[in-house]
Amino acid sequence: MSSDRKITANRNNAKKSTGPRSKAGREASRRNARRHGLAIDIGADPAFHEDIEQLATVLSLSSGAQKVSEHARQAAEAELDLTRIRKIRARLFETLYFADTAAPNGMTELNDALAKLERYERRAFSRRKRALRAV
Amino acid sequence: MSRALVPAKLIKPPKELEQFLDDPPLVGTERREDYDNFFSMIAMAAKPVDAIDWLIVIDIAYLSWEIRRERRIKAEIIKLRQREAQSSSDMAMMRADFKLSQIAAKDDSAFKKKDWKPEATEEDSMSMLAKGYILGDYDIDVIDKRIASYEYRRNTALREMYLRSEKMAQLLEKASSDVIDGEFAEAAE
Repeated sequence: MSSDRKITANRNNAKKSTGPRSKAGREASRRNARRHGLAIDIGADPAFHEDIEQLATVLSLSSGAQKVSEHARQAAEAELDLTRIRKIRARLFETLYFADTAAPNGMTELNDALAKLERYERRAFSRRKRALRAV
Repeated sequence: MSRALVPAKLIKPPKELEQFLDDPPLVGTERREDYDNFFSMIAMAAKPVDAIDWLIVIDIAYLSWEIRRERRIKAEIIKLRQREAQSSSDMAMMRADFKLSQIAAKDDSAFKKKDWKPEATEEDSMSMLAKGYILGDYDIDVIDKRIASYEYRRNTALREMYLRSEKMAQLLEKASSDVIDGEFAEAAE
């Protein structure tokens, strides 16, 4: 357990970094999670509810279950997440690499964007693997 | 030279899954026909039996396709940087020639000997390739990491397939044993 001194030091240090302070900075950081929408849980998006339920049913039937399990829903969510991510990846390649191969920063921009996407894909892939094993 | 993959017949994921799958995420000059052939080859080898197997097969095809794409991009980058290295080497040669002509203009006695030529600095193609690698090292490194990540996931998917077929073998063994045991039990009654 941390000592009182360490806790106080942590709290004091945390006060020093509370994110952007200016109005413009706060406005910009508010939109961070909306850039590609991948940070938002797909299960919380009503637009995907029907697809998740249908795919979960297909997966449950495939494993011989009579009812749709929570694991099947999680697997369906992760699968639809993977499909979204893969579409975004293709779009990035198309716009940043293939659209203008002569662009000097195209490759750097593509590499940065793909590195961010990679995190989401890795997580979705692991989530689906765990859920499918449990279905 | 790339080898055309032509499967005996085209295989598609089952209808109940197809509605959730978008068109394959192709980019640039990639052709749908090539992807379908590629997918069919993998599906034929894996012989998926249910929806979960199909999801894994789709993953393996997708990840293999991505690896192929990244390798092509990497090769293009190396070629591009190699050309850059070549042209900067050519520029250096031209500058050296220009300097020599300036010296000759001032003192032509230095170049009276007919066969006097600057030392040839032509670099062989291997050294240009090496320079290409050095110039593109950051991009090549990033692409290599992405390829390693796709390969890791593809291996994970393959392992899942293996585990599933092992599980299926166990279930089949149990089911067949149950049938045999049932028959014995019936016979004994």
